[in-house]
Amino acid sequence: MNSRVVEMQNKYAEYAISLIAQGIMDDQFNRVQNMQDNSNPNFLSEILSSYLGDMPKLIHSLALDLQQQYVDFVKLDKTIHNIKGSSSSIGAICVLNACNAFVACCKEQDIEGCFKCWEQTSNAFALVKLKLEALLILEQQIRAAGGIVPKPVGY
Amino acid sequence: MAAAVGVKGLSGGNKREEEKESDMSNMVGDSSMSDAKKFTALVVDNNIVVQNVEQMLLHKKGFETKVVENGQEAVNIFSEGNSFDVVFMEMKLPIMDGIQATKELRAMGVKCLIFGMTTSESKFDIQAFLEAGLDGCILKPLDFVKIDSALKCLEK
Repeated sequence: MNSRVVEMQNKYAEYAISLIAQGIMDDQFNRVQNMQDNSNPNFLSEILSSYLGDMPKLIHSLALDLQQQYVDFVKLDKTIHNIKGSSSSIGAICVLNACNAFVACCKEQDIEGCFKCWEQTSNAFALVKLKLEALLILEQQIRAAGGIVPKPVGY
Repeated sequence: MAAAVGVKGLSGGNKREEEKESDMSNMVGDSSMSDAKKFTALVVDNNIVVQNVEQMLLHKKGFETKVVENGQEAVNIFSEGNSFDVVFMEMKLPIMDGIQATKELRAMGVKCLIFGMTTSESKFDIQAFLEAGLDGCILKPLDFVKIDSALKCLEK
């Protein structure tokens, strides 16, 4: 096998493992990677691209809602719940954890706390975005070189 | 993530309803079920990432799936005469939430399995959802273990 492809595959696998080791992603991310197969060869990139495209709008919407004169905490909670759903689906555990703190502040109607949580959620997503975009670039490079994207070990 | 929480025991049996044909999306992926026994699932969620991941998981387990985006659409699809073996219903939905949609489906006489889906760990929220008429409540994300539990309920 082309040694360059093997090198890229190893780099991809190590990078994916490191995302979990660093607590940015969790085991759900392994499951999502494993869903990709010959019948759905672009599943991972499509799902991650959907997530990365969707999240900025949701996070922005939270910011707008927090800046209202009378904050609608029910609406805020629904948006956070939405973010939690998609983050949990792809295994973005650091975003999910930030959202859990946000839910608690929302429940107490603690506006100052909500602002801090918004910042934490926003920062967590920025980190996930950076890491997943790098992973997607590695994936593209492997495919361009004619290789197959490796699946997580043990799945 | 936790597996199914607050799973109610099924009452009155768990028979598949012999109803009109449902409008299904094409099945993709390998199946763990024989051709003679393909179950159908309705996914009710307004988040595209969740929809796609849940659909893929269900397809890989041999389900045929349909997706709708809110509780009102879920009620409408059953009102139009469609049927499903199982519904995966998100709790917090626009237009009509999962709790209200579940109540309306049960009031309409829908007897299929309905599993609530949520990221909320609030016992209060989960209890309210269960009391709407669920057969169980699943903490997101859906995975193969949780689908296998649902399959066991279906196959009884």
